[in-house]
Amino acid sequence: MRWITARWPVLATIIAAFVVIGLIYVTAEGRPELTFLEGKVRDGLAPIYGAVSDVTGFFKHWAGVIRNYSHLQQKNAELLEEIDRMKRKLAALEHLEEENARLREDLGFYQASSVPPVTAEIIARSPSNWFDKIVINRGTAHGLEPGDAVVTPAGVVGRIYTASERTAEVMLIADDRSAFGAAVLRSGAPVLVEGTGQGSSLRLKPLIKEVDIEIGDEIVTSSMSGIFPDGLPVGKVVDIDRGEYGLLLTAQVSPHVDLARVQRVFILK
Amino acid sequence: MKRLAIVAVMIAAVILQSTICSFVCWKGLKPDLVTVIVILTGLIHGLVPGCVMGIAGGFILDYFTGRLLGAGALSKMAIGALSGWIAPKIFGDHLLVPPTSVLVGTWLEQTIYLLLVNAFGRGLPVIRSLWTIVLPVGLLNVIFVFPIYYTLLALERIRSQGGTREDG
Repeated sequence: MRWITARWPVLATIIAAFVVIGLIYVTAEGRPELTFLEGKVRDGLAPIYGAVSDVTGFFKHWAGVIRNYSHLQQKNAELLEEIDRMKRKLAALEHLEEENARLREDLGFYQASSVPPVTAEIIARSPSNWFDKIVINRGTAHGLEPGDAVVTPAGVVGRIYTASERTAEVMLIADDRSAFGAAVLRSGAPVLVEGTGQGSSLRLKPLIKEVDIEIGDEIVTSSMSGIFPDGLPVGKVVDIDRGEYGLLLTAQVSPHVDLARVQRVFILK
Repeated sequence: MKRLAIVAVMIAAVILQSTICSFVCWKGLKPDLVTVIVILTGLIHGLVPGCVMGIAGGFILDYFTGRLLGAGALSKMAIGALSGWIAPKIFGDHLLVPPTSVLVGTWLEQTIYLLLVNAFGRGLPVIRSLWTIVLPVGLLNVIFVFPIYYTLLALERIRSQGGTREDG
């Protein structure tokens, strides 16, 4: 007993070290379900995140206005000209829209999703540079579930990983846990797109032996993986490594969405 | 009270990192304010406070990140202890000491973290990560050294004045 009391700092350190290593091991793969406490903490902090983001957005907006003031007059003249041009274009587009609607009807075309997407604002990002995730201000109360696809008009962003009542964590396509089926738009070749955990860079691996792929090719989602609907833009091939003897092809894809700066997303149900 | 203050400061730093810092990110990277606070606390207050700040800040950051709970605590504890241990040997009033310590300290801390997460199966390319994450984050952190350094000194001054008044 005396031996233990004399050495308690060493013993406590050893026990603490084992506990920490155990914690790291248990949480190494990420957990798709939040604990009760985690959910409550995140929901509790959501208003603070939102408020800080709003304040930052406000200052960012006005800083931009002040910075660009000298260009405003010139821009104004350009915009007036642009409005005229757009009005003409709009008239042409309205005509095309009518024609498109008529043709769709004729073909018996149905919209893939009958449920309207949920719009969400990004209220926080990963505080760490080593993991890619964002937190949005919509959760299970808005019908979101883990696995739902998160997109913008420019392309795919990621998918819901965990959801609390009023917030949800989105695993970005650049996260190293992310992988989904896609296709080369030009050739239709099926590929796998993986996150690298290295900022805005994706890794592409072919799913067939001889894949037709070139630098500049557009990559779009494929519904085969059951994660994203067909045909959503993913990114552009920026580099191809054919490996030794051309056997192990991998390509680097630059995503269309600026994952570090995206502010508003749509969640597809 | 002191413990609560440490936790509150670290949570505030993590919230800033998750929100405002994302707007000033450079090449998709954001500064690691928690590491800056830990290193400067070690420099100003010594080994044990640096260590405690490292553990507290690291755990809170890990908790908000959601993965590898404890890895950040270990790496930040190590760097807090190191800066506290080395401070009496190097620390003078020279203006370059805090930024240099934060620059080198951040590089060391991020490298320890990288090696630690790889040891638990993350599989990040080490050399590439050193270039694309570790080096730039060190440079980004230097920008925030002086505001945080003088805030910590001011807080210390307020604390010691309060203590003197109570004693008197």
